[in-house]
Amino acid sequence: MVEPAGNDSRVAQLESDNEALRREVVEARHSLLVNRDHVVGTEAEIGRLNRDILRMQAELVASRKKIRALQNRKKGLIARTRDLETKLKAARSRNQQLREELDRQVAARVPLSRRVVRRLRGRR
Amino acid sequence: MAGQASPLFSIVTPVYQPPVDVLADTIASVRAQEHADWEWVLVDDASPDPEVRRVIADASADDPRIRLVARDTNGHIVAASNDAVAEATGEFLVFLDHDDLLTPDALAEMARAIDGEPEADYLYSDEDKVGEEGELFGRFAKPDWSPERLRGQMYTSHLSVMRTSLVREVGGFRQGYDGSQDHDLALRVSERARRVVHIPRVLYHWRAVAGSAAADIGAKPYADDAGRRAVQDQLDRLGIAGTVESGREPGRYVIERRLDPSLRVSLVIPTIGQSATVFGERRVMVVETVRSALAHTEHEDVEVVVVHDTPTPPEVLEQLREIAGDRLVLVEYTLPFNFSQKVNLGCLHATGERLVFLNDDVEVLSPRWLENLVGPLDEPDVGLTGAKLYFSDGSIQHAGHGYWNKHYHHPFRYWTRDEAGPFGELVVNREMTGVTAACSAMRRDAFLAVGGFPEALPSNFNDVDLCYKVAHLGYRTVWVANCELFHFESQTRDGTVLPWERHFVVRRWGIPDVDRFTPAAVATPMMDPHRLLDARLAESRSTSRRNASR
Repeated sequence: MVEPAGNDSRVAQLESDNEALRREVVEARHSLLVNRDHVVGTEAEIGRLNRDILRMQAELVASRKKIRALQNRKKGLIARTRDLETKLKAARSRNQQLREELDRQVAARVPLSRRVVRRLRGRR
Repeated sequence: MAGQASPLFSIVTPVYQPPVDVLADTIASVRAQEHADWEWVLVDDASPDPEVRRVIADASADDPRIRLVARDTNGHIVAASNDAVAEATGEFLVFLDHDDLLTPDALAEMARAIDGEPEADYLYSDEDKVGEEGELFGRFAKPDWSPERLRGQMYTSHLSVMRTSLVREVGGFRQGYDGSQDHDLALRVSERARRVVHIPRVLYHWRAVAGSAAADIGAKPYADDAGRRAVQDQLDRLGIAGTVESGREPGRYVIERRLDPSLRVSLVIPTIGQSATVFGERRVMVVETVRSALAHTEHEDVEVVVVHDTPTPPEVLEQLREIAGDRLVLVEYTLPFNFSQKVNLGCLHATGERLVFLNDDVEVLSPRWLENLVGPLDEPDVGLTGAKLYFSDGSIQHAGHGYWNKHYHHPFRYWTRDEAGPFGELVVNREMTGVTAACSAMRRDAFLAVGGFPEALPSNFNDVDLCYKVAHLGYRTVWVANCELFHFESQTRDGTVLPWERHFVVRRWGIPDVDRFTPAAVATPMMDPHRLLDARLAESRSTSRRNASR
């Protein structure tokens, strides 16, 4: 039996349609694959950022602790400085008094030559 | 939940005729433990020298945690070890040989790890060796839990700690596996363990005296056969199709995989059909790739998907048709070069359930390469496998990736084909952080789940990103030592790496720090071939000096 000529062209058309559909399916699957890569990559990036945040938070907590410790140390140092300043002031004042006292004593002291003359003259 | 009460450890030691001074050192190392909750069961397996029992009895008199069990007859290591296990009352068993040493923090470290991982049923640490003069050497920096590697060698070895109930559940040590009874037990326990934990610290000094396995891996030839049978038993228990053979050196095992004949495997090969001179001959690279790939496998259902750029010479495609016949699928690629996209498109045209990515500049060397490469993917948690690749001079081009210290590395590059690696790394299959895409394989479902190769990376690091994705989805990546190929990389590749490519990977996965499966201590220093030779010569001189001083 001879196939009608129209059948050949119909088969060719169907094959062509089939090929076009096959290409479309591959393209759709390709898009899906690329999209999936993007999703997995985005998930990974979120995970990585979350890990970074956790690390930064831990770093932040440690830094805050360090700041508190440093602030306390600073307070202690300020108090100690004040205490030392007070002591220094008192010491300076006492030093000044002693120096004045010494000056007075030095000023009041009879020179050696006069003391020798006095002894020679039998006077104290 | 962390913070539980510390467990009681039962140290178990079968004893047979150790040198008494060495036994005394072992006893001292246990008594020096920082962690106090332990008991020690020493089973004397009818040592001929009564001094051995006296030393143990004296230690027992000093410390009630030490118990001597005296056997009337010599039952060998399995019977003696099982007697010790039967006597143990602790939650965890600690396996200590009669001439070895624990570090003072060994049990404390184990207790800390258990506290942090309450589901840990099996824990192991790094180890080193102690020589006759007490010198420490040969540190084995171990990988994190690697079930495939445990089939290739008893790498967990010392110090091993196992949950007592699980050891009893699996029936303890098995008769008939003397010499590899510990390997057999580790395989059976790990199959049921909820968690296997690696402690990356040396907690055990393995005494290397003449005749011991620590000094000479071939000292107990009967152990090799027992180990081979133990691994074969595991494959049979787990339904893994394969045959275990002894490796090139004792204590290393090679698995020859079998594939279901009805399983279709698709080789996906991107090419532009270029030629190059190899071994003094001009060749069309992709033609030799396909020819050698088909010639070295017994598997019949192999599809060859060649993704060819438009300029590929038609005569190259004709040659491929002649070699592969109706197994060939040609996919034309008309866009600018993008390796990832070419492979992705090839995979989408492939009909196999197993996808093998193959560069067009390789030549298969080993028989049954395809079976061995694809076989491990039958295990559902294995997502990716990779091969062992050589430069044309036979030195190693690729034995897996290692990601550490801010870089992506090729550990063991330039080692030679006949070298086993520091601890067997080059001759046994093992879990790795990554493998190269020049020759690797995936299950179709895993490939689709990870989204294939990242097309944003057309040239470099696309395999690194793929490996990270595979691990991200919880799959294991297995490097296959008995799948060997030449990779004539320099013939076809421009090695330029652009900063943005690296940044793309770092943005997703962070900066590489410590590799879980190839500790930097094992794989470094990374050297060029000339310095590697110098280092080997220096190492050989130092070994000779040590041997001469004995």
